[in-house]
Amino acid sequence: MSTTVTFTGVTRRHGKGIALDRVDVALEPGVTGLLGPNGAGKTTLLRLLATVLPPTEGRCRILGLDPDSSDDRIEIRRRLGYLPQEVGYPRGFTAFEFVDYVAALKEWSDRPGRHAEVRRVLDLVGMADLAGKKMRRLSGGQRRRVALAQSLIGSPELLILDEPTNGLDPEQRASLRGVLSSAGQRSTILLATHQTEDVAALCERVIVLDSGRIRYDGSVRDLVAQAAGRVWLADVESPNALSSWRTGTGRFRHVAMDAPQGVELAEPTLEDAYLLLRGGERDSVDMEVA
Amino acid sequence: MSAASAPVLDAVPQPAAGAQGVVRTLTRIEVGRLLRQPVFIIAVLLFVLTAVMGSVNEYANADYVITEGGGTESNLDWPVLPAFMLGLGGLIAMNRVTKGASRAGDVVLAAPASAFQRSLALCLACLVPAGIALLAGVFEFTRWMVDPPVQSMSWGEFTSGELAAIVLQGVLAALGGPLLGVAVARWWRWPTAGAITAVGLILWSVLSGVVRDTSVWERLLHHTAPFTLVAYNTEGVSWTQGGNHYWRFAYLVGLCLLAAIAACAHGSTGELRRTLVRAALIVGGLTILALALTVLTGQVGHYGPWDPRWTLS
Repeated sequence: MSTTVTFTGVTRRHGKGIALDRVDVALEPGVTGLLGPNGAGKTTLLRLLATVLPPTEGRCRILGLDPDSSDDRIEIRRRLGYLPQEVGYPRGFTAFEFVDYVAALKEWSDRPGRHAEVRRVLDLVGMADLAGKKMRRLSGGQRRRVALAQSLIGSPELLILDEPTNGLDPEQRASLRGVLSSAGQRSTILLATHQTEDVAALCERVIVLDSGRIRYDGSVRDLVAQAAGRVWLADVESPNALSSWRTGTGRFRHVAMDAPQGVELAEPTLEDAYLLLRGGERDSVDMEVA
Repeated sequence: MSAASAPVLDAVPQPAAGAQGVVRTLTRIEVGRLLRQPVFIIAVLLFVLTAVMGSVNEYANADYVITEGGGTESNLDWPVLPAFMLGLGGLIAMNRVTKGASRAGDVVLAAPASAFQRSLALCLACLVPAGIALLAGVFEFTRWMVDPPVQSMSWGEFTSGELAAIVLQGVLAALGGPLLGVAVARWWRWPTAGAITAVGLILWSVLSGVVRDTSVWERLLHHTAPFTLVAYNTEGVSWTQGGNHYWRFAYLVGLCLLAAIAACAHGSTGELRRTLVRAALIVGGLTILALALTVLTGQVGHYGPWDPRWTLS
């Protein structure tokens, strides 16, 4: 499988702070999840990938090109789609006009072809019926879908998505997973999210970022396997658990580095594994990093 | 979007057309946005209304008519219409259009169309208000030529070419204002920057006309302003502005180019930025030269013949 993105020792500083600290990443076709707490450096990593930000140090290769070179950067931009965490909308634009504007920025100069492509991507995200509606009159979830549509213009080779399912209802999220899993068959997709269930449903591989450093980079299955035997159900709350909550059945679900003897173990989820990874770091407990 | 619906990813998208035509496509979109901008719509309606009213009022055929109290009406005031309505209205409208396009933030920055191409498209959209002013200006000038005004003190002083230059100064004001609106939006992101710039331009133009004598300094003060009246009529005193109107036209062209270069320079890097800086220096130098020639050549300012201070005979 060909490598689409290679970051070697990439650091990005913001003033005196470090958003990314000597990050090494290689991305291949398929959907890769990116997890991490707020302020972990996820958005900075995505902005570097989208060539919106240059690295302070380190070497980047995106789609075999060097984003430091002006010509290469433009070529990379022709071949990528980017959904930022927050998207503003020019006042007065309809959903169609907004996507059409971005298509024009992506050098779709032929009007009939551009309009056909805009209709296609709006249809993909289920916004075809609302294409003529003003952006300001759309709900948050609908706007998010329009923003997602612009990132799909031209079926990009590299798709960078920052929290794409924010504001979507369960049905829309399920549908979006269908779109992304299909796109992932021929494109490289990096999906940053707080929704671990989206990563579990879509991704073979996951990267966990914290404080600008990669804490885990490996398969979702392996990360979940590390939580085996560390999640259990009990009738009372455990003070030693990293995380515990009362479930709908009235019993407590606990996640901890070590489960007590004789408890009823539960099937771990990616969220459990993520909590353990984070909790393990806080407690300076080494977890195996793939 | 229903969970059951199958994604239509099989549709093969048409290939992008490349960099060619991007500016043209973006210009069409920006023109569409400008034409729907409420401030611009109001400005155009007011311009058309005042231009039509000016054509049909009782002084329509008089460039200088002595009115009750010794005041005058002058057709040479015409450039104030496009300057005020389309220039200032266009400034605020294009400022908003430019800032609106930037709202999409990283989506815009991650697209292959460069900041230069986006700014150039916005600058080209400024030709719309200038085009409207030009149409009206051609109509006005033709009317002056076909149906010459009576009591033409000033007509005796200005040739047809100079009168055309005066009309075109109003057209350039309708171009320069919107271009300045784009430049201001590119460099100053604060919300009221466009409105403050418009107020600043008004104050500059008004203050430039405070002094009226026949000195070089008076002409410099007047002509430095992006817009200045050619004929005044206040408190019973009429005044015709001196200076060379051909060179003033060149000076205003220079100001328009400087505004466009400033707009396009934002976000540019490397060789393009160096080219734009060089262009700004050359155009800036030529603009100063044009201003100097505006002031140092041409006729001096003078009062109307009905004023005791009238000096030309």
